[in-house]
Amino acid sequence: MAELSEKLLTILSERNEFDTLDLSIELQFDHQRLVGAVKSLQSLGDVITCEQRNSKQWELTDEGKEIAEKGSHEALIYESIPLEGINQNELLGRVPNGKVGFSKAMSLGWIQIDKAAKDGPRVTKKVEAIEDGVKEICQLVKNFQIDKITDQQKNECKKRKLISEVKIVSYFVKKGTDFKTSVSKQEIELTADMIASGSWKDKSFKPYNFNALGLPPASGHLHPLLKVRTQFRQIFLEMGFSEMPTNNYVESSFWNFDALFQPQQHPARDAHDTFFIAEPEEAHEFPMDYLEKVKTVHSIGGYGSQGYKYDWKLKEAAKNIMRTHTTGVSARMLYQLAQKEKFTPSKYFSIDRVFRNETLDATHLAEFHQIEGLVADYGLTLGNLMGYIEQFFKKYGIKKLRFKPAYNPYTEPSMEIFSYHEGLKKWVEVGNSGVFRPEMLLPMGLPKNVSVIAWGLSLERPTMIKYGISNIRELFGPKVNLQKIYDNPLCRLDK
Amino acid sequence: MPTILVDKQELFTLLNNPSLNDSEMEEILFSYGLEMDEVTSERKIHEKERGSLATLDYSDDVLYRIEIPANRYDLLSTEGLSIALHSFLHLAPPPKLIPTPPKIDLYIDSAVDPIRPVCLAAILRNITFTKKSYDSFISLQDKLHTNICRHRRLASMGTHDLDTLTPPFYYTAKHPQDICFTPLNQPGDIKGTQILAHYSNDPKLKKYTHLLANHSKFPLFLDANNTVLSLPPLINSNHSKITLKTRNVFIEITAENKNRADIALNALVANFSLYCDPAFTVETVNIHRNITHTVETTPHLEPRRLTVEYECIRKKIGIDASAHAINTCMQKMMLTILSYNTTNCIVSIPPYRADILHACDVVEDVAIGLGFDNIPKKTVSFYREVKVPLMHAFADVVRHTVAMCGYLEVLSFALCSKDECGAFLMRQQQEDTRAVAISNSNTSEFEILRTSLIPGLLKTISFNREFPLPVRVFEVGDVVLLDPSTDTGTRNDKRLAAVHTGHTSGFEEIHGLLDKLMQTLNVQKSPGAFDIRKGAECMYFTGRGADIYYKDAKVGSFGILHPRVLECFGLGFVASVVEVRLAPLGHLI
Repeated sequence: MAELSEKLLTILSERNEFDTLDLSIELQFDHQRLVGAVKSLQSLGDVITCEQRNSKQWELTDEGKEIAEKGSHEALIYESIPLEGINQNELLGRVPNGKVGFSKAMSLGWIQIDKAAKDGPRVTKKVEAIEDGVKEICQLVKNFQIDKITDQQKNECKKRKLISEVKIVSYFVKKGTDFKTSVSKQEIELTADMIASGSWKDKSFKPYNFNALGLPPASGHLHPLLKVRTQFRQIFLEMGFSEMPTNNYVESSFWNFDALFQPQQHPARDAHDTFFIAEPEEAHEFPMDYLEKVKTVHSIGGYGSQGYKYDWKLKEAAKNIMRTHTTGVSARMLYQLAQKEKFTPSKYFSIDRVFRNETLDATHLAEFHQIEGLVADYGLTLGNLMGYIEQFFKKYGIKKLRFKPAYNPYTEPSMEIFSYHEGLKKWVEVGNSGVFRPEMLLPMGLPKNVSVIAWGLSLERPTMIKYGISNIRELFGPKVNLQKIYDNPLCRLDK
Repeated sequence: MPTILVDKQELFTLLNNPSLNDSEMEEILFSYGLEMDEVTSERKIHEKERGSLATLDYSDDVLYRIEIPANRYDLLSTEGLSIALHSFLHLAPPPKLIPTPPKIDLYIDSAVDPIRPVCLAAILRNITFTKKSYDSFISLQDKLHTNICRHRRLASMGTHDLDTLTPPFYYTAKHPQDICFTPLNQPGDIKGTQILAHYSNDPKLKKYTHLLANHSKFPLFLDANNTVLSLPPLINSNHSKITLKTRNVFIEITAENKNRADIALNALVANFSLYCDPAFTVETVNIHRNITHTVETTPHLEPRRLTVEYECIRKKIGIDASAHAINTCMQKMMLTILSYNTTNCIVSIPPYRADILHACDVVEDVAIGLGFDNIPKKTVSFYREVKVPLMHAFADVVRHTVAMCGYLEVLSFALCSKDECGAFLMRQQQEDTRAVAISNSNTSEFEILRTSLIPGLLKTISFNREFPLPVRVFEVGDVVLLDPSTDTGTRNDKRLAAVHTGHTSGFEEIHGLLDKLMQTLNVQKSPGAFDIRKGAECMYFTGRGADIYYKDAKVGSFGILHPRVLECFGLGFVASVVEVRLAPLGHLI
């Protein structure tokens, strides 16, 4: 190849320009290989310039090529006839395409047939010598001397499917700005050896295809859901909230429900909503003073409340469960806060797993993550809660919010948070919130004028919306698609 | 949350406001804390259920399906909802229930004490039912049975045509063999001994038969002629069935919990005394306990009084409204102002507003009356040092380190099957591998809390067969262990686990990951600090498992998984794993 390339460059240096097709005829060289050599010269940069040309050319068909070499069918028939003549069938058997050759030779008057011969029709030569014009035409075509053929001959051959007209792409080649007559092999990579030896200075480098894909790095990745968790954690930290320790998946009913003024007959405490623990079945060591106060406020009321008026049972409160929310942790934190000598206003958040004994489907899992924020301070108002929620959701890119009155056993007032979904063109619920009830806070021993405001949402739902995931099982659990973790883009909640 | 179906026309007539459209109604409901679930009709509901076009029998009247907060039992019927919205929209004073003196006595036999001790009763005189109000009356009882009565377990009610019965009434308990009557809508008598079996296949009532199953005696309501009224909480008798022609209704409620019985009875009489003449009159009943000889008159319809301070309301909501404006808000929410001055007022709470337990509930009513949209939103800010639990920050360092080493993070469930953390890892049921067990899981997938992160990783790989090898995954997460020293007897333990699976064992890769992690955490490899010893954990291929020690305590292990472990998780390749506790490494114990 390099040899051919250099030959072409030498020709070019002599003539300044050539057409690949003309040159291939002149050199009796296969045009395609010539074009290949020109292309590889072209890839060297500006050594040559090429201009594409389209032309039509007559070419021999396979049959035509055979005739150019061996002679026409009719000539072959003629040649096959011995002096004494030959049986017709035997003759046709000797020559390929015998039938075509026979009828052509007959019409040219080269041969004759005696149908009355005693052992079948017998063929003998009629003339002494013939001139194989078809073979000559085919040889002219083969040698690119098409101009020596008359139109009538051309049409005859075309009709016999010996020649056909094809489109030819050729290149008109001229010297380029960096024209030279020698080609060195182009390098692909710049290597340390070249730098060490200094050989890079004399080498030419293959142009790079910048549109090709790079090599994917063998990289590790963080899980999409936890990337979103990081963003929510960041929002809370920016707002001055401290993170609560949530490393207790198993919680007692006492802290999960009773401390939150959720009555023992509440449906959430039924077996079909909550996972109960068989081992260890019960929790022990409750702060007994506080527990007595919780018992009283449930069963007969107090702190200005009527209570739920039922027989509160320690046995029910002691039952261990998989926590159904992280608010049990919040209750523990608030209780600890209340035990301090002086109350200090506090802001807490948590993002961790909670568990529900639910029927699993595309949007429900038995475990999911709850995001929760709370503020404890003197004199907090419902307007403050709305303000905090607006600030929180603004950081998360949601500006249009509405609040709907709602019912939670442990907050009053309670509000569901709705945001306007531009895609669905309607208000959708994005979270829940409220002011913790005095029946929850006062038994803990928090000062009477301290309010605690709180809001919560799930981590999975905003993540599914963010990444357009419709089945929660693709996000959490063993059915996650590892390729999706690999391909998952960065997370910016505000965009 | 309970939902109710409300006839749009009926509701608008009761509201005296026929010109509202659906979206205006939805807006009103939203601001009251109710949600319009759908706008439908009897025909549409049947077509949805049956999946075919309904016949002409079904009505096209527009129905609203409305979600009611779980503590507003007084809103569980069209009547109750319209009464509340009438106050909300037009400041109409809430109906004042007028108790009339008792004429009828009811005697409670102490035989009911071990079964269902509480009994209350009331009478609605001169009532006029229409088809719609009759249906609504039945539907409200269903809703109350489901919600406040907790599927009839804590309370249940029966309603009877008083004119078919002869007072006084008796609430007693009898052996099943001594009971025989024709239950509601049944062709003939059923014996007490057969009644549970009879209803055990009834689609509507089978779920209540267990409430009586373990009792030797069944509670029974009788009149003076020993005619059976009902067998609570299962079924009424056909004899005293109420019809469209019924003019006087006797209501009995039996219960385990008196408070719930009170709430249910008050919701029922408040909603339907509307149709009595005079409206909102309720005849009381004398309830005699034959052991204590005490007499109680029910229902308890006295409004409660509560003194509320205006300043407290303003502070809790964050508004600057006048006393008059606050009073108006309370009236919108069916609270009556009995008296007021500049600092406080005394409000009367209707007996059917059982949701009001505390002054904070009145605060919420004022906020709703005012409209949540009208409350100024303000943030407060105070300086407080921001803290993050050390373990959370440390776990993040570990996650980033492992991810940077080329591992993909996965997130698996904390709940798993017994086998996954036991037999599949070739572990014996030894004391140290016992797990926290779930008692009421519906699926074998969630029997215990994981004691290792490895099963979750292996399951994830087995669901990702198309992912190019080698697969490198990790998880940083909590396992849960038994620990008698904590109040729940359990403890979360933060771990890192990583798996390398492919055509070769990947042992050196996993070993290298461990070394890299230790180096990142600045832990020197030397005896007494971090060292690796020959291990004996069953999940590893013989001689290919090592224990990881930190300060002479075992903190984890790594090695090539045993082929039987791979087989249990359906993995066709070789895998090496590492699992290590984070608390000791981060000095966080």
